[in-house]
Amino acid sequence: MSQVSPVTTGVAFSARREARTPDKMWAGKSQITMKYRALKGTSHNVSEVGFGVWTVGTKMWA
Amino acid sequence: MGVSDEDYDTGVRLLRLALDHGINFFDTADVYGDGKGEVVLAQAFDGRRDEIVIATKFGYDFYNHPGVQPGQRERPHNWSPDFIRQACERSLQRLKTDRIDFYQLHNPRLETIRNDDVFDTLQELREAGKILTFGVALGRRLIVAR
Repeated sequence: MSQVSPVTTGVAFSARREARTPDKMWAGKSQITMKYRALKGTSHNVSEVGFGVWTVGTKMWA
Repeated sequence: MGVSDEDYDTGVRLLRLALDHGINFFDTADVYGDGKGEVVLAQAFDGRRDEIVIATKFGYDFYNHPGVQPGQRERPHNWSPDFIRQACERSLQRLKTDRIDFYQLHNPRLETIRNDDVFDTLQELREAGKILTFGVALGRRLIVAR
């Protein structure tokens, strides 16, 4: 697996409903650097922030 | 419980956006949306498999008990070796990959965690290269029991 380089990303969540589209949610002023750690038993480095696919694979959250 | 095409498109966009911003760990389960949680992941990262780490889960028999259960009851588990092997193959197909990076028991009870057959089967899948490593996703019932 190719190693994913840490990236710097802008994160700012607006309370305004019209601004909460996926693209705009990430547009902001603050800068956060993603951290990675080893997944034991594999050669992978995984981001400390994961994505729970439950939120997009079901309607249970709606 | 259904996911519309519009929901799907939004889900794909969100997943890709997450990877673009450094998130490479995606945790799903075969039972999410009766398989759709794995399908949407494969769709989002078609051709980018080596950039992501896939965690998924098994144990609920949604194949014989699809959809929302009466009274929102939990679906029955099946921890037999044959079911685990079959569940793994079906997940690999939905994810369109040759290996699962992190394979987890989904909300097992204590008697399952003490069942050597389950872990022998997982070890067999690991040796076959179908999964890289495995673990346990604890549900509320087990945590409360502790």
